Amino acid sequence: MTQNPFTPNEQAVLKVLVAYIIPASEEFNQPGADDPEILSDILVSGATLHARLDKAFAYLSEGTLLDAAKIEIFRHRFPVEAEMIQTLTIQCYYRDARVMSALNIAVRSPFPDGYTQEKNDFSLLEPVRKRGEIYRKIP
Amino acid sequence: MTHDPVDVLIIGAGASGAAVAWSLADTKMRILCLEQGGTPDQRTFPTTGRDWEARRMGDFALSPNARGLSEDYPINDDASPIKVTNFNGVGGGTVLYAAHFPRLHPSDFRVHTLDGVADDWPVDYTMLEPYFAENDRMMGVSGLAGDTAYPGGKFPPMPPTPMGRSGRKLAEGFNAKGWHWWPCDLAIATEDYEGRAKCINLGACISGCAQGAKGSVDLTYWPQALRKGVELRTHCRVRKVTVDDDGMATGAIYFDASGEEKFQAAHVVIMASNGIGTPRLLLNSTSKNFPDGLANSSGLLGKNLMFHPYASIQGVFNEPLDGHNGPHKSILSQQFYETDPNRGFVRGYTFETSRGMGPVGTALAGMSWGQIPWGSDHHRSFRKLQDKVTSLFAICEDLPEEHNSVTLDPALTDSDGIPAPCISYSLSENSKLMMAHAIERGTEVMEASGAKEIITMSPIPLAGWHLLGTARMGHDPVRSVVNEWGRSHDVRNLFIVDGSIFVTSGAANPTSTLQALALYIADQMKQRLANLFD
Repeated sequence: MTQNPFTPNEQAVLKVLVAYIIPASEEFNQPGADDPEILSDILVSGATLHARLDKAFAYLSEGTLLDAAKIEIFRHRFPVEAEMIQTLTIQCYYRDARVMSALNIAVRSPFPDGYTQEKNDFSLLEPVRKRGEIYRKIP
Repeated sequence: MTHDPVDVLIIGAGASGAAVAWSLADTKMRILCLEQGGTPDQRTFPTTGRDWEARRMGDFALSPNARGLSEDYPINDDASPIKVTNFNGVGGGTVLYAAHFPRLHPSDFRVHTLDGVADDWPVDYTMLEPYFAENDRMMGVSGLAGDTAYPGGKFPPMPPTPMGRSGRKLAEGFNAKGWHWWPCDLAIATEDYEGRAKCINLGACISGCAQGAKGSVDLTYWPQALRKGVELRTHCRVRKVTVDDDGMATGAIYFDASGEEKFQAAHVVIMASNGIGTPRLLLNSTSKNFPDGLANSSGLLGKNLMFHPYASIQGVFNEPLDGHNGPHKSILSQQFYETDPNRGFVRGYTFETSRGMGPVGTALAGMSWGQIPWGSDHHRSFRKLQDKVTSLFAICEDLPEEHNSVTLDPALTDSDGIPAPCISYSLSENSKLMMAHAIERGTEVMEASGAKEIITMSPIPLAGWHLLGTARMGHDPVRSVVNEWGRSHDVRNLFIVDGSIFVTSGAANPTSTLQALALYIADQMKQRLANLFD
C-alpha cells in the first residue's frame, strides 16, 4: 500500500488549501475536499507529487496564518504547484461516493455495467442525402 | 546471444505491424515480431475502477513522457507546439485511440496534381479500396453506408454507435447551416463480433476499452496472426537494424525483458514503429555504409513530420447532453475537406464530435476556462457544466515541410540507453489559416446547435496522435525513402509499413489508411516473393 509521505505540518497545510479549493456545501449537501476520507485519498494519491511540492510547502508554511490572501498569492507565485494540487484534489473529490451521489452520478466504475444511450434517428440525415455527393472527383 | 534466423522480422506490434504480420502469415514463412512493450490486460484498464479519470492522467496518460513506464521511450518535444501521444505495447496506438476510422479521400492521393502542393502518392484510393474493405472487416467497423463525402463502395460491417443527445444537437446545427455531416465510421463493435463483446458506452475509449469492444489490434489482428503461426516477442526493444557489407539488412539487435542484448537474424526486416519510432530506430542504425542512418540516402529520413493540427470548439448547453457516456466520436463533417481557393488556404479539415466529459474532466476543464473558481461557488459553477458540454474538433491537413523533423536527441535516452527522438515542428501559415477557419465555422455550428457559451482553442497541445510522413513513399529515390510498395530504395530487404510512409496527411484520422496500406504492401510482397530483392 502506498504510504502517505506528507509531514504533519504539510498535512495541515494541505487540509486548509484543499478546503479552500472545494469547501463543503450545505446547499448541495456535499463535503469539502478536507473531509477526512477525501483528504486521506488526497494524501495517499499525492505521494508521487510530494517531492515536487517542497517549495510550495515551504512558502505555505511560512508564518502562522494560511488565509485566502496568502493562498491567492500562492496560486500566482507557484502556478505549476497550484495546478498539481488542484488536479489532485479534483481527481480525489469527484470519486468520493457521497459527492457522486449528490451529483446523481452512479457510484460505481463505468465497467462492467456501462451506460445506456438513446437510439439513433437518422431521419436527420435527409437534408444531407438530398444535397448528394460532395467528394472531389479525380480527373 | 543469437537466435535462429527468421524469414521476416517485424519491429512493432501496433496497427500496421499487426496487419502486415497477419497478411504475410499466409505465406507460411517464419515471421517474428519484436515489441518493446507488453500485451495489454483489459481487466486492469481504468474504467474498471472509480479512479478511471485520474488514471488517464497517470499510468494511462496519452503522453509517453507523462506515463514514463519502462516500455516507454522519452520524446523531446519541447520544440513543438504539438506534443506526441502514443502507446508502447501490443496494439500500439490503437489501445488508446478513439477508434475513429475514416478513410483518406481519393483527392488526398493527388494533392500536387489537384492543388499544386506537396507530392502525389505513388498509390491511389482505387488501389487501396479492397484493402480498406478487408481492414474494416478485420477491425470490426461500425458505421452507415452512403456517406456523401466518399465514393460508393464503403459498407461498414456493423451499424453505427449511438449519436446520443450531443451528436443529435450538433447534427441539427450542421443541418441548420446546410452542411455535410454523417455518423462516424468507428472501429467499435456495436454487435458481438468475432469474439468481441459489443460496446456498452463506457465512455473512455482513449483510456483503453475494458469491454474489448474497441478494435485495437491486440484483439483483432494479433489473435488471428498468432493462430496462423506468427511469433510475437514482447518486452523486446530493438536498438539497431544491422546490415552486411552488401548493404542488405541482416536482422536486429535488441534488449530482451531482462535487459540482455540479443541478435535476431532475419531475411526481411519490416519497420512498423510509427512515424517517430521508425525514423528514430533507423537513424540509430548507422554503419560504415550508412553513416547517416539506414535507408537515408535521400536525407529525408525523419523529415516532413506531419501531425494534423487540431482546433477545438467546445459548446456549453443549457440542457443535459451525454456526459462521457458513449464512444467519444459520434458524427463527423467533411464539408470543408476539399480545397476552396476562396478560403485563403489549400486543402481542408474534418470536423469530428467529441461527446463529453466525466466529472473530473468537467471540473478541470471548467477551471482552465475560468468558469469554475476555487471557493464556495465551485459547486454551483460545476453544475452549470456537468453533462452540458460537447465539442467539435477540427482535424486539419498538415502539409509536408522538411524542417518539421525527427532527429536523435544528443543527451536524452531511454532506459536501455538508446538515444531518444527529438521533435522539431512548427505550424505553417496554411495550417494557422485553416485552424482559424475551422474555429469560425465550428463556432457557427455550435451557435446553430444552441450552445450558450463557446470556448475555442488551437492547436490542441496534447494531440500529436497522428505521426506521419517521416519516411515517405515515392517513385524517386531522391525524393522518398521507400518505393511504391514500401521497400526501402537503399536496402532491398527493408520495408516500412507505418505512418512514416504517408506522402501527405489528408485531413482524416489515419489508422484506416495506414492499415490498408500495410495490407497492400504485404500483398505486393507476396506477389513478388520470387524476386523480392531484385
